[in-house]
Amino acid sequence: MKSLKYVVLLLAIVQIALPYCIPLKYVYSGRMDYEIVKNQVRNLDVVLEKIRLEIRRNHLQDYILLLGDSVMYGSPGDSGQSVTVFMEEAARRTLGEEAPAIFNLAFPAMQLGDLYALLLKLDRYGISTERTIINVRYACFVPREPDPPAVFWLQDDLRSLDRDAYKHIFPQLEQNGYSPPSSVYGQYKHWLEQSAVYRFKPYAYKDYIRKMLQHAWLRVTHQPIPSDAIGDPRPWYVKGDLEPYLNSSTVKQSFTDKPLDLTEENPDIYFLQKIIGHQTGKDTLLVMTGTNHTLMNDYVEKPGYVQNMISLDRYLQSQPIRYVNLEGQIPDRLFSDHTHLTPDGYRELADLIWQSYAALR
Amino acid sequence: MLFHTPEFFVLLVVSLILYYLLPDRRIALLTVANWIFYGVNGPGFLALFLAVSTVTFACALLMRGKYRALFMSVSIGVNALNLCFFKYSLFVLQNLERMLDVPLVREQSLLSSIVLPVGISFYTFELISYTVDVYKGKLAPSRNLLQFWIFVAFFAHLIAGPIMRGHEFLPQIDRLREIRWDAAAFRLGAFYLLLGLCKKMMLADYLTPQVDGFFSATGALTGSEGWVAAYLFAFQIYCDFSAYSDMAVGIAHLFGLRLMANFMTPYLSANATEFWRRWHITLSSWIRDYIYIPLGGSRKGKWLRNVNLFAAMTISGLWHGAQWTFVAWGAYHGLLLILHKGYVSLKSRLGGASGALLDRNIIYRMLSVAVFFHLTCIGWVLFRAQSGLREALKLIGRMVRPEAFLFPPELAPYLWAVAGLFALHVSEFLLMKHLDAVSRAWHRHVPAPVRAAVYVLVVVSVSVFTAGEHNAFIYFQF
Repeated sequence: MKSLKYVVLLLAIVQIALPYCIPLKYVYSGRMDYEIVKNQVRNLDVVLEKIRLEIRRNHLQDYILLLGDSVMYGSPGDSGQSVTVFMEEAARRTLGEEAPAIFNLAFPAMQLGDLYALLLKLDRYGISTERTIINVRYACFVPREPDPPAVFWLQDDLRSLDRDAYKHIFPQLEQNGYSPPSSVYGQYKHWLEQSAVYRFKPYAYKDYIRKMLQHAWLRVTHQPIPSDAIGDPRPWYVKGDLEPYLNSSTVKQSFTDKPLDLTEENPDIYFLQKIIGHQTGKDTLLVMTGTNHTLMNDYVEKPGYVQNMISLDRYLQSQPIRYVNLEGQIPDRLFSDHTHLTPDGYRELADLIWQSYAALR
Repeated sequence: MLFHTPEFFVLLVVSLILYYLLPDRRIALLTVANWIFYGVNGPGFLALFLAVSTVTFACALLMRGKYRALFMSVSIGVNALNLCFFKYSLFVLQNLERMLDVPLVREQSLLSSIVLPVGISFYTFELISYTVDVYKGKLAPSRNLLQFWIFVAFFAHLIAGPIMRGHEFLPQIDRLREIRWDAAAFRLGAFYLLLGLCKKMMLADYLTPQVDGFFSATGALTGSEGWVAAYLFAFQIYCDFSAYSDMAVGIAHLFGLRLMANFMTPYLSANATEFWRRWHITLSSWIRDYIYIPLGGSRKGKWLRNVNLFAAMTISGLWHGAQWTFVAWGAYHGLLLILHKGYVSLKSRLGGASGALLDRNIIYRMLSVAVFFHLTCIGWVLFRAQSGLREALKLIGRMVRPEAFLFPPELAPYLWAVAGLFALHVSEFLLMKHLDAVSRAWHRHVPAPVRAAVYVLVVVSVSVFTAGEHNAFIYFQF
């Protein structure tokens, strides 16, 4: 048992040193790794930890956080063509060496409830939310039937970080099949599996270590590193297979012409108010990203939709938060589908956001 | 509760601490730990186990005088009925339905919703062997119900064995209070535990999706693909089941107890007889002692011996599950055993000395191992094919054609993986064969910090390469 004391010592060293040993690019490369975080949302904590270390290591003060859904994430292109890359370029063009660091924490399917939970998580990690840009879309405020859940990814985090908000939204989550462990044993097991084991850094970082080793193997064997694009980023008009998707119930629901409920009865308005409350007094920009009007003509020309857009725009303008509406400002040819953009489209979006943000600073 | 889950790790650590802190409370402590371990699978399962084991315990105590046979019959009857009801009733009725063309099981009926209690096949065999041993006077009945429960339900072996006998484990439980902390036993326990974790989490769980992928389309597999699927499954089931057994043995060592070894690198067997001495040893010895020998064994001539062997192995197959594929797998192994016995007698008739020489020849040995490994893999197709016996037999038909051994290039990565797994199997054999010497050299010649670094590397590797989801052990379904 002589080796036991060395085992304890080495484990302590691994525990402390491991987060420093994994290069940031494997955890965060201008955005999160879609597959890794999608398969285990606890990997988001690793991203936040690495970003916190990066901020400390470089003594960053005025960094900007991007929060939002798949549009801010830069779907479907790869991470080299995301909003983050283009916005950093835009910032450098304007401010040169003074350009702030930008961290993109947007993730596909994130709802306003997720964004609120994420803001609370950022507080817990000590990552400043002083300068934050958040994207919203028309689809963020449409009625839920009951899908999608108002908190898509971070239900467990919301439960632990804001019990009241969790209780408020729980019926909607339950309607969507979310069932937290109810028995004492179930809660204990859930805590062990989703919290306790992640305190052990090799386990918490396992997906990223595997990715690192896989890339190392590919390099050694002279094979290409696979792209991290999550779809086809070509313009919509060269793709011939959009029709079924555009007629799907998901798209129909997200472009509804039924009147929007802009009171706190709407879970998204409830969470928007929570976000605004959290960001009061901070340098925050709310961005309404646009729609491909040519492709979605049948939907966006409906009087109900037009009226909803007007109401929503008015509502967001009336809030104590900086807001910019980019609807119609990006040419339709730069869309890759009804709402996502091509790489050139994301460059355009990044420029527009940066101009708006710089003008408001 | 699975061995490779955090909740089991907590239960184990807490139990160990209390076990060594409170030696006078060990019986109560292990009883509670076993109840927790089994009870989380469902309180109903625990209640059933407690009821059946209590009946067995009482019958064993009452097995005296002229009622001996009666109480033995009651005990065996209760256990057999329990197993048959949960495991075979639906199977029997469905087959009767097919034979008679009469609907017997409705979709929403109680029978069709039966859930097999975890570990029922294992604890039933332990309870039956205990009953028979007490009846035959080989074993004194246990007089302490809590001790008896620990014998059957010690959490290390309750769910998937090793199948322990009363004379092996009850005396250890009798002396539970006397067990003192032993660093060597603890090291050995930790070694087996880590070995099992590595096999399960770094090998078996990675093979699972590959094997599932192949066997999900049994009908579409070519002969070559069938071989690859069978090779991979051979190692998946070995790494999975032997991992469980290794962990069980390791956990027992941590408590200062000894469980029987269940595996001895079985794919290095040169024939069926040897295979069953190295694969699921506690089941094969149980089948030998409580089915094959009572049927007459080899005492009544060659033909009856062969019939008994075939019957015992077919029952062994049926024990695995209520499916014809398992029955066929058991019968197939019965046939292999009969053929091997015939081959041995033919060899001895042709010339005893040359036969012995042949057995010592390393090339003959390697050839035999290779041939028997392929025969084992054919058996695994029967065992694993989820699309039924007919599809499995068709696949085997394609596998035994000569062109099936001309593997197309796209299967090369799998064959390399299989070669790697076989190399690991050989390494395991060498390690286990020389375990004492390796352990001595390891502790004598390797400095403590280096040993510690290796241990930490193993722990980190298990953490990093765990396949993510906690896949249940294959043998939990039996």
